[in-house]
Amino acid sequence: MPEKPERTDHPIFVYLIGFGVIMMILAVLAGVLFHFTLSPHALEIIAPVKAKLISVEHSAILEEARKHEKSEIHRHFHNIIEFPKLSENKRPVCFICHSDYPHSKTKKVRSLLNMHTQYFVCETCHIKEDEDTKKDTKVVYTWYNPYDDNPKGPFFGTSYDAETGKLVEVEDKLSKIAPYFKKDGDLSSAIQVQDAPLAKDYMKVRDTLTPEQRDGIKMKFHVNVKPKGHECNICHSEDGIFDYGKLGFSKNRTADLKQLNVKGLITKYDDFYLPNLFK
Amino acid sequence: MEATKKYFTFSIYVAVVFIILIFGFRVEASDKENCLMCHKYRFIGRIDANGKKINYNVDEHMYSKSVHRNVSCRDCHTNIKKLPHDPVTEEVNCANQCHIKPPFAEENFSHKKIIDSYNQSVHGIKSEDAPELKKAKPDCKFCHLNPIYTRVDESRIAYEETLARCKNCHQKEGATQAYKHITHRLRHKTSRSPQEIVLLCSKCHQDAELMKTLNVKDAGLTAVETYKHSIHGKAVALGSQVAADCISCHASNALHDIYKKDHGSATVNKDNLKITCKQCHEKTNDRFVEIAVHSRIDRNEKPLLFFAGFGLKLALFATVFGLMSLLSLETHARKKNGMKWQIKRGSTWRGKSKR
Amino acid sequence: MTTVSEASAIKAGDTSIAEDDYFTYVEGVGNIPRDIYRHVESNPLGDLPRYSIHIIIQHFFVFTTFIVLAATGMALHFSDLFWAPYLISFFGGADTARLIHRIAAATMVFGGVYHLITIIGGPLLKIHKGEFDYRRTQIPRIQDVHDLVNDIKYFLGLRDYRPRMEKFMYKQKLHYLAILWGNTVLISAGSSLLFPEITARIYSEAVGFLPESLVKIFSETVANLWPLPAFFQDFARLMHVDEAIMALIVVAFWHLSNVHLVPGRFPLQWTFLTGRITREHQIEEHFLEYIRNLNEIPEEKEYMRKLLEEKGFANKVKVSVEDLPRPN
Repeated sequence: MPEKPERTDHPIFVYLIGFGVIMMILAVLAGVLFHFTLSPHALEIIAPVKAKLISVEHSAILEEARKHEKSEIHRHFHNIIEFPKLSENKRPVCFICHSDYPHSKTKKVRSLLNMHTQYFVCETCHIKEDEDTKKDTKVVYTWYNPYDDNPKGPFFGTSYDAETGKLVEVEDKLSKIAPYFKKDGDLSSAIQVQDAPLAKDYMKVRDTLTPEQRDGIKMKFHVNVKPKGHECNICHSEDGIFDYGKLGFSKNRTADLKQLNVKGLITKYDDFYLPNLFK
Repeated sequence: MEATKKYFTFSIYVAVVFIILIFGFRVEASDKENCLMCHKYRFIGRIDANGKKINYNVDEHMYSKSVHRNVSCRDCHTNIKKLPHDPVTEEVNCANQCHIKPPFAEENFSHKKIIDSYNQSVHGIKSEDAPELKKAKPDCKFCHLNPIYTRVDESRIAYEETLARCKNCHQKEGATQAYKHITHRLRHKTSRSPQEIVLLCSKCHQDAELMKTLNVKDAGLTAVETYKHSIHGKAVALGSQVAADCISCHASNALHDIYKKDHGSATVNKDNLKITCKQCHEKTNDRFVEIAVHSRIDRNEKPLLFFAGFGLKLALFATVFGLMSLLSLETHARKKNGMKWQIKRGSTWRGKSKR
Repeated sequence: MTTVSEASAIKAGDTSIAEDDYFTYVEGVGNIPRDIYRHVESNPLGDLPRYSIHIIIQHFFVFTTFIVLAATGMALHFSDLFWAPYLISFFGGADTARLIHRIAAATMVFGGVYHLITIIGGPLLKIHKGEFDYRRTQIPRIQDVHDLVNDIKYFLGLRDYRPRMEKFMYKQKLHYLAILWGNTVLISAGSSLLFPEITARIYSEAVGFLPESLVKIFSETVANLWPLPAFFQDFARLMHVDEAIMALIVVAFWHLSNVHLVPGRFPLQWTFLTGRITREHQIEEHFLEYIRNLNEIPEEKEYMRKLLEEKGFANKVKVSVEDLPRPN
């Protein structure tokens, strides 16, 4: 053989540059493929295929609701702050039917009542104690957080900022005061979340039930629930059911809550005497 | 005597300190009537008779950072006379005088001046408007959402431009002086970013159904789309702070004087275009303003360009497919003739020809 | 410049020889079979000179600025697609990306001017020395069309060997012309977008140079179809984008694949870095240029002579190259 060239193999460096070249080609290829298929500029020919593969269900009601929620920002003027939402399966089961703003009957106080949903779950106010077991089962109240077995706080609305007088901003916005049944020192939750077996089962068969069957199930859901909630003074009084101090409320906040913070209001305006509204 | 004098001076000091303490650091002046007692809670609200979710919350932390933080509730919500108040049915009137006296001013502040100019503009409600048009036209608070002061780099604030805006509402005398002394205005802004402005205008102008009910012309119907296809729109969409947004061209420094193109006062009127474009394009000229900003290549309007575009696309596809076929054919043939894909070796004719 | 005689032998670069001749006789070397490239040893970094240092530098200018221009330009144009904001933020925001696009464009124009100087100055120097041969340049010839047809025939199995081609074959000439055209369009349309105020005036003032009667016809009859300068601005927007997309796709799928991906070039052709081409590649695709190299480079002549001697082709004989032993 005549003399060989100095080398017949590529230097190792080749793989680095070659890799770069291949990456560039692949990037353009990916861009072109995306452009013609999934992007808004996709070819019209594949539109029906895409529609078949990615089916989006259109609901006029849902769109209307969403549109309203967006336009509410423009009506409201005051900034609406984002509030963390519980994921579907963690929400108390009540919300399936009763929505985020459950109170609507008593016109004068419905907004005020809805305001309380930030602080506690439905059963805190609407709990019905079983007459038979009342003697050995006590209802106790404590903070409940679906993501945290033992929420430590500080919780929203439990103390004032000493400097500004505003409520202190907190991280934990999801914890709410919830009732527990206490029997022989054991605590059992009095509330049901959406992924409880009963609730899941109900959601599955809801549409196939007859109205009568549905009523029967509803009774089962409401076994520990009374339609009319506690009156104000059950909590907002010196000897209310909450131990505010134990729940983490500061001293001055506790005082305000006990006196309902509307003392002046009540004395000035007789018709705002809240307890009467419930009679 | 000496002691009395000393005591007297001391008392004055104390008094001054107390006065400062009492009046100088009052933060919650805007909520004298404690409206926030109820309204500070996030879930105060209800489902109204039309099934719409209405929220009455006013976030106290946000409100105290907003431009209206010193305005007490009832300066705007004038129809609330008692507590608890009846359902609010009347809209707030921004032309009301509030109990705030701007620096160097004799009178209490009011937005009346700008509202008058706004009412003249295309968005102002006219008596001859069709009912659906009246309903669709935005009121003050559709755009003005009690803006929050956001801190920005001092160098980012354009003094001249901002000052020109001040004069839309404030009297000329003293505005500059006041502005330069109010440090929160030097380092904070409340205006929308170009991106937010496009988003805001698009809320109505991109709503094809709404625009159709208002008998908007074709160019108006596609205005958002054509803007987004323009270099202005593309740059703004990608976060540009200098490219033109909607009001850069469609309004002057008064911001509210938006008119239709054929109106003499419109910034986009043929006669005013040179001034409008000059804000950014310094070398603007008579011919330059003829260039279409909301350009749309339509088969009927611009047939030549439409078919040129079509031809170019065709050429693109033909070229790419032609070259790729040649490449595959060549590779196939060379492989058949014994060429091998080799990673390491320089010489690659290793296979036996199958030809 | 050449040394060849005999009936089936060629003068270097002479295209009058029969296309299908298997042997090419070169004085002092021997009979070179057309597919000798199957038997030569090659250094992947390149054996024979192809590009001068100037061309390598210019190519560097072009490809680095091309990548930057394509990345910023595509992201700006397809601002509505999900990937655009990521790319833009990589370049430091929309405003910075636009600036970078312009700087890269200016650099590319500089590279273009540099190239123009070399391709005008180089040949002038060669003409002066009496060495210029237009067949070794990018100037298109009718022969290129024949080469393309014959090469396709070979790909389809209708011919036995690839045509003997010059230093720049039809692929390179096509690509080079496309770059010339593309650059002209992109630079002129791009300047139109960058300086709309000036171009608006240029177009309308250009009309002013026409005789008055023509202007009248122009403004009255054509204006509807061809309104200046709005038409030109729209046309520039159209052309800039379309030409850019074309360039990107052709470069990525055709150019890069052709030079780095296809068998024989994979994983990388070093020519753009070293300016040298492998012996094997030169003989396969630029046979005529190789013959010229043989006469210009004594070492290469010696190599080929020894190889042919070993294979028994020193004298004209009809032996198929397929029958010969190959290197390992």
